[in-house]
Amino acid sequence: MANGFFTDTSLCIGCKACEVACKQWNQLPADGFELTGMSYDNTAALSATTWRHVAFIEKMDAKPKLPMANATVATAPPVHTAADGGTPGRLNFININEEGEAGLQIGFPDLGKWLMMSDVCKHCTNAGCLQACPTGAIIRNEFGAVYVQPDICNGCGYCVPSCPFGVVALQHDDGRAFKCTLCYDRQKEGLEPACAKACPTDSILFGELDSLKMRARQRVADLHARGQTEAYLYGVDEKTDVGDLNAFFLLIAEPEAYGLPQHPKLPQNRVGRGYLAGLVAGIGLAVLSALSLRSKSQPETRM
Amino acid sequence: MLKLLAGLTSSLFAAKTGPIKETKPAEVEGRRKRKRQDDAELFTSYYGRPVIKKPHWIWPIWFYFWVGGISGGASAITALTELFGDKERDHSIIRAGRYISIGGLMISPVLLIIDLQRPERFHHMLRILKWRSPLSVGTYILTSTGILSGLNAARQVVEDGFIPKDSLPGKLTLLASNPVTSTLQGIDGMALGTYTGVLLSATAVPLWAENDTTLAPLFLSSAFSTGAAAITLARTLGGTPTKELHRLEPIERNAIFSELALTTYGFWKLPPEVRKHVTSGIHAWLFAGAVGLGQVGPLLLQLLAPKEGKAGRGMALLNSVMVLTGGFLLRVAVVTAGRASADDSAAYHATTRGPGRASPEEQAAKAAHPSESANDSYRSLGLNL
Repeated sequence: MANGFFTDTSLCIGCKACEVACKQWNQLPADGFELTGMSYDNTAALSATTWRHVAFIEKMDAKPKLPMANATVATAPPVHTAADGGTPGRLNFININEEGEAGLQIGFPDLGKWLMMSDVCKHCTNAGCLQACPTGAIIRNEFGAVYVQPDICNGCGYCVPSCPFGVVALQHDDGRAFKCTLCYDRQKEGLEPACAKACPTDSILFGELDSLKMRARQRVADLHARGQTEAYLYGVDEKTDVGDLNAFFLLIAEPEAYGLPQHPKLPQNRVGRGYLAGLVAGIGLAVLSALSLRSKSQPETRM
Repeated sequence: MLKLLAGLTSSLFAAKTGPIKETKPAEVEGRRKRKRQDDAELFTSYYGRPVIKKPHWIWPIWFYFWVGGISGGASAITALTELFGDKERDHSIIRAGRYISIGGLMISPVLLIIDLQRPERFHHMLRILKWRSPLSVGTYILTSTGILSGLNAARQVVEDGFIPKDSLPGKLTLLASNPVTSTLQGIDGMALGTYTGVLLSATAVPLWAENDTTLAPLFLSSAFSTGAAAITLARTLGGTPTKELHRLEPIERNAIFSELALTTYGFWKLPPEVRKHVTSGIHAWLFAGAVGLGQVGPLLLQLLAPKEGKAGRGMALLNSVMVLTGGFLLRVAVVTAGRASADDSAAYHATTRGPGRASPEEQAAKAAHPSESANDSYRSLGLNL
């Protein structure tokens, strides 16, 4: 049995309940009060003490896409067209088309498009951190999650650059690597992880992977039927060498916008290539060295 | 009703646009343009924040890569000399090589343990062997090279007369070490020089990942050149006759040519977003130092400088110091520039483009036909380690 998360970003309201619930349940220390100045996101990134991170992306130029927009109101007075200095791009409760007809636009004026996404360890099928770990501290547990055993980890730090998503990190005052455990302890008691439990909109769903994937694909189909054609699944049905992600996402913008790689690569797939190139160079250098040692020693011995 | 609503909103509209009207249209246009540009940048990264996390590696790792490389190269050259060299004439090479490799292999584990954030748990490295983890494989390479080097260096100690040959420890040492252990140490030493490159390229760090076929041979070549330089330096200071000092120059030269070719090729094939980290700031100077002092400089010196007399001796000394310094700068440059590239989201995104995902339409189709999706689960193909 493998369990995972389906994080549907189209439902996320950015309340950060998941971040708080995660910190509380796992007794993770605070990260200090630092303002990033870039958005409402002051958590900034996943770390050894932050296992859920809500990303806020504000796209200001985007127009809210609502089916009721441009309902024609023939009797509306033609005020503030673009010609008399009105700035239809900024506050367009009233849309005036070329014929001078005003339309009623329902929705927030120019608040742009907000994307929120609760990021978490992806618990990859082929996990870079797990394959890199030289002590065997990182294992796959009985729930299909990638788990760092704190009693084994010796803080070598090799898992950190081996994660293609930048999830796992060393805790500076402790020395060991930490990341999301998919609430191993809660799962053992038959409880769902704290973040999924706390999520008020069910943006974070926890469950058995196969049924979760079916549900996610159905959600994409539903959103497409409703006109939200940007929606797609990240981490499922992809041809990447990290394989399916046990924590996958429904996104509505390019992965880069959320700080995710377009096409994550498994670092360990380069191991064979590296050794092979080294072997070729090694044989070459050894043969050349042997030849040079031979050729120079012969005239000396003849003399 | 709608009329009322429209009127209400229009008054709201008028009130809100008041201050905006006062600004000059050109300014508004400019501001909007800038904003749109920001949005374009925003959507190609998450506010330019690093996507991956860089390793914590600093000076212990720089020194380890350097010292480990020297030991590995010295081990290989010693073994090759024992196999193919002239026993009488090349005695000083073997002697210096054995002592240098054991010296380096005693320092290396210390540097690595210092680098661990939980040094008291260093032995956890030896509780498991994972072939796909270069760090795990490297632990065993380092351990075994260390043991073999210890045996062969002990033989040298006995041969040098520090321990009498007919005493029990002397007899045991001569029994335990032989040409086989020496050859094995040579092979192991080459593995030691190679794995550090594989270790770096088997990460998500853009600069290292992009050099997946060049870093390992580059580090091995540098191990050969710095190993040869260390041996020559020891022999120069140890009073080997000047005409014998240039014995390892061909080996060094081959290694340097290989380094030069690999550095050039590795640099050339980098995407511009990643190359930026090699050509900018402190890293540009470090790489320039590595290539200038460690590669181009020694080649010119060997071509132009005299090889006999006092000048020849000085040249051997200068050449060795240059190669060793260049080798160190190369390790520092590769590690620090790699760390800088890890912090750059644009560089990382440039290295992670590839065949796309299933389109939303295909995904939606899969939801409609669940039976088809069961076949291409990557779980069944993947290595579930």
